[in-house]
Amino acid sequence: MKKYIYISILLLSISFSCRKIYDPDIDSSQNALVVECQITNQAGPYTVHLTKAQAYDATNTSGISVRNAKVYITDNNSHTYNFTELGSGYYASNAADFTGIPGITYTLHIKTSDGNIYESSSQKMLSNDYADSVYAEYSSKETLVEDYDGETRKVTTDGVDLLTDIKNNTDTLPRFRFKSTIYSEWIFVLSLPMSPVSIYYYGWYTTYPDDNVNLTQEKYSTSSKSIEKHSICFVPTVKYCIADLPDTSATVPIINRIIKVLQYRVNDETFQYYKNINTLISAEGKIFDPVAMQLKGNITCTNDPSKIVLGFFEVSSLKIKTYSIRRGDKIVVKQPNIWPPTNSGFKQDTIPSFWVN
Amino acid sequence: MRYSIRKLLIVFLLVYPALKALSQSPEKQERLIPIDTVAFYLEHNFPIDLFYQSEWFKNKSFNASILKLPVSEITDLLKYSCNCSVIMPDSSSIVFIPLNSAIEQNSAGDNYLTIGNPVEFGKYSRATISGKIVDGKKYQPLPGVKIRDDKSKISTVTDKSGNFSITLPVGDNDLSLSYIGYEDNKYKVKLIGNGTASFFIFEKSINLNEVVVTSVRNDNNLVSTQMSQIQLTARDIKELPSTFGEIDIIKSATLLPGVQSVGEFGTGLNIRGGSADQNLILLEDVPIFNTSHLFGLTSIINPDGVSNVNLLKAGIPAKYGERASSLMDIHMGSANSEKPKAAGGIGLINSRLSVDVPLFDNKINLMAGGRTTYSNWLLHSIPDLDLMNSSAEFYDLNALLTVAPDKNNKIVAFGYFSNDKFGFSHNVDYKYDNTIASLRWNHIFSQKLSSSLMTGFSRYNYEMSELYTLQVSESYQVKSQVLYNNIKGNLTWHPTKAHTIDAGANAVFYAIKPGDLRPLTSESLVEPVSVSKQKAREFALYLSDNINITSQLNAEIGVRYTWYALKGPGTVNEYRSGYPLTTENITDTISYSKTIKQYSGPEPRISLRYSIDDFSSVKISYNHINQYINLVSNSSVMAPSDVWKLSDTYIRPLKCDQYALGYFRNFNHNAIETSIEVYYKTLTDIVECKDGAKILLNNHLETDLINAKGYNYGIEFYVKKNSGRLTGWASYTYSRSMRKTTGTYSSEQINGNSYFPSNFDKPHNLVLNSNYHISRRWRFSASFTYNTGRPVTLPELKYNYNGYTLVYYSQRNKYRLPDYHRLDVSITLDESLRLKKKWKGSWTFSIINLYGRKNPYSTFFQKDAPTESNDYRQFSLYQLYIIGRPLPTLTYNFSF
Repeated sequence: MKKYIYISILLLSISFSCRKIYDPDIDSSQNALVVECQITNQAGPYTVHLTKAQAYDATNTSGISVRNAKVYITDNNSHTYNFTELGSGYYASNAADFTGIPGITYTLHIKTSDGNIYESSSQKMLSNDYADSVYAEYSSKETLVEDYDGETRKVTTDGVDLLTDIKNNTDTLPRFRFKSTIYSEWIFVLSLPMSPVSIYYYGWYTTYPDDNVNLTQEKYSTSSKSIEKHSICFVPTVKYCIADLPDTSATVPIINRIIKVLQYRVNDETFQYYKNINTLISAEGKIFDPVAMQLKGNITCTNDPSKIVLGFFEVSSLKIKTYSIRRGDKIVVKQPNIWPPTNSGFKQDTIPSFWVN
Repeated sequence: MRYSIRKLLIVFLLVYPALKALSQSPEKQERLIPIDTVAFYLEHNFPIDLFYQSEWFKNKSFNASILKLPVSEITDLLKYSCNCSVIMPDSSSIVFIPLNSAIEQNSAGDNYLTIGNPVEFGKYSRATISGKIVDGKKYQPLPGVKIRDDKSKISTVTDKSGNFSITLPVGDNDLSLSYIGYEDNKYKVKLIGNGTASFFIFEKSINLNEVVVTSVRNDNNLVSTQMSQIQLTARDIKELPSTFGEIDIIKSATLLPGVQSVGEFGTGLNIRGGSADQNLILLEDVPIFNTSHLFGLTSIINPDGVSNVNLLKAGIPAKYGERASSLMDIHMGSANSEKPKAAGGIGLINSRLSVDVPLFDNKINLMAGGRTTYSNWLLHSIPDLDLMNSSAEFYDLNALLTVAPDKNNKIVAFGYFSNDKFGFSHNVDYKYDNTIASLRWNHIFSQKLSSSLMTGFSRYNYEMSELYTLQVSESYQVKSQVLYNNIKGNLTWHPTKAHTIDAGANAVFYAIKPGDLRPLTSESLVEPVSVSKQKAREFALYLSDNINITSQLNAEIGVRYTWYALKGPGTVNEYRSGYPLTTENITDTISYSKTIKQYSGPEPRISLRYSIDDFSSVKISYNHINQYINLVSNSSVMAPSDVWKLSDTYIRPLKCDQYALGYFRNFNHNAIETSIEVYYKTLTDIVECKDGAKILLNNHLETDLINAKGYNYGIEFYVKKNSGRLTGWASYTYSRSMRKTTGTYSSEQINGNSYFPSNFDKPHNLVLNSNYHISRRWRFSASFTYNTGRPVTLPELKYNYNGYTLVYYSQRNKYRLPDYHRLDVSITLDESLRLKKKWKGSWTFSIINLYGRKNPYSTFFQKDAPTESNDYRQFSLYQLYIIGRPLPTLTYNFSF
């Protein structure tokens, strides 16, 4: 639905189209504050990150930190939760006295050192109490790879789709956002030629399967208000990977894939914001793309409403779940929420504590 | 080489006296030149051929200054000097006939000949005509030419020397000359007594057959009250620049002043700052709802059958309405050939074939044609995953049946069907088709009264389906449809020479299905959804009078009154008063069984023309038009996600008022036309989309739309050269097109309710289009276009949020793409001129974008890995080019 790029252009693109970097004289002088804040029903501390937006063509990857701001959250029960500056634009709540509670409405307040006052709209935390099931179905995914000779070809990767059904008995379709991480576990046995003892390597590496924000469909309609067969992520079932071992690298068999799933129940305003993010990410300004949109959050500058404020104050309830899928299988097994301490690594002759057998 | 030197020498000898004479100072311009020099000058500077015998100009010579005169005056001087008459069998031939056999053309265009001494009238009952028949081109006598009097059935043939002698009853005779391979000639002969008559007859040639006989005077641009008009005949169309080897009538219109398109290959035209849906594009009197194949690659009009295109940008007569900006009236027609004909072409993307079959002595004519594409192989050979899995195909068919049982009645039936189908990367399959049919009856009651009655049907179907990228449970199909039926009646009455009155009525029936969602497979869980159908009726009555107030002043005054009704059954959402139109603010839904909403109003039209002299005139016009149907679009050009929407309770009719003033002047006896036109247009209740609006399958579309207003203005300069070896035009337009929202709430505002340029605002536009006829078969064409880049909305800031790097866009249309310019050239070897050759082919070699200008079609940004090539940026803004280098094309067109 979202890809309104048409054959007319593509046909012409075949033989003639090209592209080059465009350097227009852009006005990037706006001094826009960017707010990142997310509170959930999981234990804190929660953080608020304040930065300044940069010119779109700036080479640095992160914005300038905003320091010395006063940050706090209020709720509809007149509680106030102050945040303490950690540095680099980060401000943290006190984990001991602040955990989000479904049903409560929260408002974020910020006063920056230049005297500007910012305030979010009130955000209600919704309950995430739905019965669900997770399972997998065999699937495949097409990608393009480049050969050694520079030829591009189509490659089909086999895998499984990790799917979920969420039962809902109300008349309102609940909105969810998912975020997944895949840890692949590999094992390698190094047999030394002159020794009867082999060395066992137990390793892992991390991939992030989400290109866009994974939101439940805003279906036109379904047979019920339940969510059925929503794809959490695609898990490839490639059986081998290249592992970096001491002094060498080797092709090693993958034993398990562990999928960590964060399931956020979001309110309508948050859902719309993320949906707009998806539109923004997928739109590239092509001719059939929708008219470019200014992504507007839920925070305003109360003393100067004309000021651009970017970012969002998200209040959502969160479920964290872990599943495993064995090599070549599609059976999904629920696992305890224990994850590797680093994105990749290995242990020699010792099975890691987080290892799924 | 030897031949060339000889030819150069001859040219020099012939031209030298004339050039020398012209270079003399005024007091020395007494130099005399012979007839051959005059003829050479005329034939090499104008697309004409002179036919004469030098002996007729024996002892005659001419002052060299004669060459400074217009062609018609030179011809007159020559005619009088040799005591000859002149006939023009076609637009490029001037034939001198000695006056001893005075041939004249009467008002009906018949050759009329009087033979014998008038004082001997009544003296004889029979008389003899003697003479010679010669080849008009080669001056060779023709033996065996048949001379026949159709009345008395008496005939004879010429002898070896081309001489003939025939004795006929005195009085009116119908003499016909026929000879194989030569044009048939008919003369009305008033025979009084014995006499002589010599005739030139000409070999039949393609050029002669393709002369377009129109009722349009050469100075029509001066004397017509209509302004802002561009008319293209079949001959003009033939010389239009081609795209991919085929003439594209709709795209070629962008070479005309005030007509632009958003991009090189976008769908639709933007005329004087209006959106594409503001143009009423009529094919045989029926509107087309999507004018492009493959969303902009080429237009759906097969150029082979088109006989006439009339584009009106202002001063639209009262008989037309429905759309606010312009009218493009396209008519198909046969070549009036006496024999069946076929024509076609083989091009890069598609091929076409059409046939033209006259029946029953040309009383019935059937013309049919079709085109089809073969572009899939191109797609599948590209190293791009999406394209490898894509497909694209289209075809179109058309047929026109003309029945003319007598000179007072003509019935025209027309049918058209086009089909487009393409799939993008297995993701989404798109299909759309246009079906058009019309039936028209023209009847002449008398010389003063005629009528036209027509009914038409237009249907646009659009379908989109998605299967492969979704779970089977989510696969779906969306269909939409626009149905249009109309009945039109028109009476034209000439009560006096000073008045031409048009009166008529028009009824339009709209039925739109904005979208039906269905599960694509039996396993799909998608529940069917139908966006409410819309039905409406639009009635119009009009009356206009074209008045010759004085010989210099002419006016066309008219009024059109329209009634519009959105019909039930249907529902209308009610919104909380004092709040923006959002779904949260819906308070009630009211059901209607009959009429949901009505609008009506007068549409005055006035055009005035004042002729300053024979060569110049001033025109002024005003028109008001209500438009009750809009194309709601969320992108810069027409796209599949667009939805046709009828005016309703919240989407009010678009109203357009246009004022235009023009000065027109022709030079060199209408060989050169020039004009300057200025216009100012106001638009109210334009439909604009909110940021991120959802257009498709939206049952409360009004919550995503905003009523805006705007104005367009511009000045257009136009110079056109109609004759000579070099023909073409140059135009320059300066124009602006601005929009403004007036919403109270921020969600209903764009750019804080400040004026912003519309997507079609391209202030400067320059077009140079020329054809140079190297010889009768070789033709060189060049076309240059320049315009200001279109407005775009660009990212200004970037920031990180929750792991995503995002951009923040500027205010709408704050920036512009770089300027656009392109030069296309082509050389054509036209088909053989010999009639005897049955299969005739022409070759066109063209180069689009000769100097390889990388004109940006659009901009897009991409997240990149920071590298040296992109200055270590995370985001890079790119320009996309469609034709970034010279594109050669070779096309073969044929007829038999």
